[in-house]
Amino acid sequence: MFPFAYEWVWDIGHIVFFGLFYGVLSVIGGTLTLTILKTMLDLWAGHIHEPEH
Amino acid sequence: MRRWFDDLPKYADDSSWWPKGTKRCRPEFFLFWLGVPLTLLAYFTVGAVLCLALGLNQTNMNDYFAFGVWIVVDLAVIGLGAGAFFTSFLNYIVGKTELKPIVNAAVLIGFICYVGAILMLGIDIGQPIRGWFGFWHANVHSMLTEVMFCITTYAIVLTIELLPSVLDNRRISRVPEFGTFSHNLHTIMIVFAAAGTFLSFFHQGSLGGMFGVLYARPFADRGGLGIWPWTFFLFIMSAIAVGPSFTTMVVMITEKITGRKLTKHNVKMLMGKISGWLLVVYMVFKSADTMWWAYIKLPAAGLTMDQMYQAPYGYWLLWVELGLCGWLPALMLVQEKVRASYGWMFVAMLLACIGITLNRFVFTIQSLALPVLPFEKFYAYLPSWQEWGIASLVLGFGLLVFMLAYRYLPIFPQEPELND
Repeated sequence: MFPFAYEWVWDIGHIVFFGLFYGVLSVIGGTLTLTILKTMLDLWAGHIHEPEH
Repeated sequence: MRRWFDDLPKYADDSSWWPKGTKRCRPEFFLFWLGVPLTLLAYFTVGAVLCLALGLNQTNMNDYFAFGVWIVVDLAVIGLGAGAFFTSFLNYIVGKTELKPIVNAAVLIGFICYVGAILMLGIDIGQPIRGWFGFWHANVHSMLTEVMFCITTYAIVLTIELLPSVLDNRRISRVPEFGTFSHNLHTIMIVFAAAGTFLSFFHQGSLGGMFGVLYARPFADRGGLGIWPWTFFLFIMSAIAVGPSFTTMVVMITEKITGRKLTKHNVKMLMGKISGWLLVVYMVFKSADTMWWAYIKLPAAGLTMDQMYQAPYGYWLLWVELGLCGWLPALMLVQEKVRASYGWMFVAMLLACIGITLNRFVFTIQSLALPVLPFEKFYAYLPSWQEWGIASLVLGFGLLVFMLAYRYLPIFPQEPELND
């Protein structure tokens, strides 16, 4: 899973497979983090989203 | 029975948690019906404890059937749950906003299917506490590694996609932090929908690809394009064709059980139309693949169709899968008259869902039933009660989550307007 694991080989299979996997995880994690940060900024600025009900 | 519950003293009122403008049954009645999923989960617990404590000798799997009912159910629910990614893809990325009223339900159903399948696989792998080995010591040449990575990652995406519905609960959304976070999640949902589409495309395909590369199993082995056998593409096509049907069917069943209208019929008709045309495309390719396999691939290997279909897995399976539960629902769903009829559309969608389940069954079980060595016979497989118990987890877990979500979360935005 990581380059420091003993069975890791720097071949095309590992690069493509894990490149895509970590790419998707980065997009998901990054987007979630940005959303949390934006929420914190909104709350500090007093931009609270009122529920519609 | 309802009258009996009505006569009970009203000691609990959870109506402030219900979605705005909706009505739900009394808590006592709800708790009574929760007994159904809880019973199924108790059945699962007994099977799981036996299998984990005593081993796989509790199952009817053996050296011939390394895959059994768990994998059949797993492949079927993952295919049926494809309505989540495909409906999200159409709504958020293609811009088919007419599907917005059913997207929450599609995501919820997808979440149930995927998390249920993962929980069941936790028992299937024998030692759940070593489940992380598949990630840590990944075999990048295995289709199943790709499936495992994508399914678990997509389950995370589905959880994030479902989160706004949870945070939009009438009481939870009053907390400013949750309400604002939910609003911000809504605005960025297109990114998660895109990630989900990418992940789903590959794991649906790899589930099929896994069978297509079994060159020692003549029932499953196929040619293909590059490293991807035809089954890779057929599994994707079948999943995106039947996923919308399954989502709509679950909504229709919920409507009948609760006696409330949840989405407008034109939304269901659109889901049926999408499902129908995609099913036609799938059936064209699936029929071509079957013909090529029967008339070119098998004879080239010195085999015949008669050897592939033997009792109890005879030709009837082929006709039911491709005819009764393949072409028939496809041709029914492309007809506007059929889609306009609540009952006929339900029948067509049900047939389509049975068809995809049969497809996953034959690829899993029939592939293994065929003899591949001179001293082997044609074997049949019947799951043990313990295996059925573990497979019932998906139904028990699904019912429990769906009942709670229907009661407390705004899954169906059109419900208040339709039931005024």
